[in-house]
Amino acid sequence: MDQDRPCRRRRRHRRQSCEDYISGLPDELLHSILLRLGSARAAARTSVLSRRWRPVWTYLPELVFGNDDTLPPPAPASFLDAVDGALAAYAAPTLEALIVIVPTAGNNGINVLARRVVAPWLRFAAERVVGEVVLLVPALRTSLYKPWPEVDRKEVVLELPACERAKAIALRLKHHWRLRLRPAGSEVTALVCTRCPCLRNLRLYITLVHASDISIRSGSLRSLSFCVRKTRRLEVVAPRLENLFLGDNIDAARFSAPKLERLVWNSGFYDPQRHRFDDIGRRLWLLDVDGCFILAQLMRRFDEVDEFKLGISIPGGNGAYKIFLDETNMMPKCKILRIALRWNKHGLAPVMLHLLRNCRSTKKLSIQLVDYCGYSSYLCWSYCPCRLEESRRAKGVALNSLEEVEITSHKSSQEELLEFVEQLLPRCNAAVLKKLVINYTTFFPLARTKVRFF
Amino acid sequence: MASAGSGDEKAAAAAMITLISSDNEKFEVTEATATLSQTIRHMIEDGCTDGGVPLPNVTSKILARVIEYCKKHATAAAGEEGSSSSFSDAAFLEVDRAFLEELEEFDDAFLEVDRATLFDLILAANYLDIKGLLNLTCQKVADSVKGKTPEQIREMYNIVNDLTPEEEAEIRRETQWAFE
Repeated sequence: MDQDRPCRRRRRHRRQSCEDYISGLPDELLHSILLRLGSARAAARTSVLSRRWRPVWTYLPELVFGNDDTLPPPAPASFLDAVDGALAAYAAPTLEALIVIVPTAGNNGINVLARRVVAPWLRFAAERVVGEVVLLVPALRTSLYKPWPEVDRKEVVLELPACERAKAIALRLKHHWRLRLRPAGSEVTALVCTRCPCLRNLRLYITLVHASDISIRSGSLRSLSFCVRKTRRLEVVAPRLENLFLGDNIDAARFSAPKLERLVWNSGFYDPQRHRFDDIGRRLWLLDVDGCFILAQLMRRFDEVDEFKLGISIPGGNGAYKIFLDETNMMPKCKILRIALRWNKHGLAPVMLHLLRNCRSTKKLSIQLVDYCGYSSYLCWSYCPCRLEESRRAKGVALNSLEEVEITSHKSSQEELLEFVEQLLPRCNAAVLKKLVINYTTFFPLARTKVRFF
Repeated sequence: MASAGSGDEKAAAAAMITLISSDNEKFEVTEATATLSQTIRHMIEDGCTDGGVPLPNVTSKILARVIEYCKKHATAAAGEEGSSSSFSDAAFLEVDRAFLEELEEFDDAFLEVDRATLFDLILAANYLDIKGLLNLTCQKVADSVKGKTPEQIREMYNIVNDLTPEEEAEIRRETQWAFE
């Protein structure tokens, strides 16, 4: 780099090479640069550059811990020290976001990550964060040969922070973390209703200390991701709620959300008697269901969705395929259909044809073929769709609205993908098809690491 | 998606705005290009663009570069609006993918400037409130700093260390957690 050479020799470029442009930027722009380091630790290291730089990072509008990919991951204890140290030195009265993602590598020393460490972080968040609070503690990853020390197995009990000014809270605390509700069951209610009046986005992934009922009533909430183990009964009354994600089995639930637009149902089953949608219409922008067994009733609950995402894996066992066919006989009308098929090497074209027969109005179709380890070892089961007489007889399907098709195969062989395409496409009569894209990748679709769910 | 606003868009595309740099050079740009700058967008909304928009903080050299960026990205923005927005996954469409790649290449080439220009672009992007350009230029600086020691950063950006050795030692002690 020219600029980096000693400048005495290059007089012509003197102005360019010797001037300190960066320190002359206003704080606001230095913050813009430091924020893009994505790490409070990295930002804090600039305090030693010069007198000008010393206080700059302590007014950063966001503090992020954990996404530091430029340094070797810190030892668990020093990760905690970094969070504690940064929060202690932080000088601005409020901040937009506090994001703490405990690195997986830090889990070996998880015993130090106890309540007394995390509680002060949440207290800081409650007092000063005006935007987003994110605390993610991943599941413990241990070596097969090294059992956890006894101390690690203890449950760590935490209470929810009352973030009066926060607009978004995400708590994802796996494994030995427990959330205490006080008094019985009312904590989440009180928190969301009265103590967090600005809250628009709440994501909870945690286990309760005691099985309890949970009620969430909020006039401000727009998005809710709920995956709270040991919830007995869930009640959600949120007149402005637009996005709802349910991530765990809930025995009984009642939802009042007249503005609901997107529903992701990853909860294992749906029973209209036990899961009530009080004033939710029959039209959605997005319906995302995974595993269509026992969810047929949910699909029938909605007449029309703009985008319909369906994750399918057909479990083994005689008759399973038949049940699958029955369960997916009635699906909502949709414009965009995205289907993730757990790939079992072959025989999926009839499955796809069956689904398409029930989604004839779709304009855009995206199919993901995902090869799950284990499944691929079955060459052909006795109950494989390809052996069924009706599959062989499967007629073509007229898809008069279909304009675009994308088929993506993850990790399977090209031959398998071609076989699927060759079996499927000739039987689809799509008069207005404009575009066909076939992707082949050897990678698994990675789970989205982005913090925001919606 | 055939939006009702497409007629207006055409009218807007035809409307020209004159930008005047600090050294009094005039640049004629379309309104679509100019309104990538929120600052100028507000001026247009307030109807204060007759007789040109004076930009006393931006030299003609930098303004020319900024306009080059805005022209390219205004086309991109128009393309985004034109394509079916209901299909959220842009990567789905091959055309979009090719266009995004082209845009990325443009951005990479655009950033091939000397340091003085880079910082002038940051200041101009901030003053004109052009989010994309500010993001691009700040990210370039951040990337150059990533993984570097304070000494390397000082050397790279000619930052004079005016701390006494005692002061520096004290700061390092206070922020030891950041260096571990």
